[in-house]
Amino acid sequence: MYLGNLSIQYAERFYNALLSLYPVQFRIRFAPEMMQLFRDCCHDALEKGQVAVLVVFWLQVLRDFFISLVRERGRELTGPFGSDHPLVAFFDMLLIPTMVTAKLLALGPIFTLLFRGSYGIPADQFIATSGFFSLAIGALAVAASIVMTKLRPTVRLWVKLSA
Amino acid sequence: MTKQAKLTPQERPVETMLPLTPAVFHILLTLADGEAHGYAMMQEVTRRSGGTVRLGPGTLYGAISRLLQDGIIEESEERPDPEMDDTRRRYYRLTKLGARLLATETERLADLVRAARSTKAVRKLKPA
Repeated sequence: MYLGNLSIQYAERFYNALLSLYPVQFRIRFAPEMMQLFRDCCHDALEKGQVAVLVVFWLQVLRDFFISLVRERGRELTGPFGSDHPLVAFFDMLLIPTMVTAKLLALGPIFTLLFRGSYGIPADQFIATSGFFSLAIGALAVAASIVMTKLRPTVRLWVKLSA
Repeated sequence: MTKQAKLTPQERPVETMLPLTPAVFHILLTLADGEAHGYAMMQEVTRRSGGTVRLGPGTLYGAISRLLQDGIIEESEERPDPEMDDTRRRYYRLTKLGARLLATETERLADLVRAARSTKAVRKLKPA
């Protein structure tokens, strides 16, 4: 029982930290309710008392968190001004490549783990190899994001014309 | 050429808000039975969809935020059962626009199912 309460306490602290990444307005309005909902779900998962249930619960929580975070941040960017505002375009230029790169950089170490020992990649040079992968993926992500940003007005015009 | 005034979400014809996402449709369906708070909505959606639609806190409150903004649902001041009430919880209910939207979407889906069932290929198929 004590262990259960303790784990809920730590889980709540962790989820509270995750909530701080949502946009301020969204957080002010919904964070207490989201916290309460998380607490209820946490109790449900702990009541079942199986490790598999807890693992699935956390996977669902993290998946839900990442998807909704990207959606709410996107909404925040296009919300108050409208997507045509120059400020939005400016932040697009900076934020989208940065966000995409930051997420893809994590693939460097994963690729290194997958390909170590094969394709002539020495297993003992983990940091150097994962650094190389991260930089290569990061550069590709920045290039792709810049191309996408440049193409955005054309796509918007095409959508308007076809509507 | 005169510039058209921008319509508020409440003034927009409901057809322009269709189709609804499965999550939003299930939320509206849950609220059609009466007001509910987040946890009750989440449980009801999981039960009603047989576990195929699972709403996490982020998805649920993201959807609630958009529905509130568009005037499709509203926060309820009353408590369905004051004895069972938890003051930390907020209750939501459908607005008239929300009820109209739900009815229109249900009709659209029913038409779609009717059209699909009228095709030979679907009639031959047996459900899994």
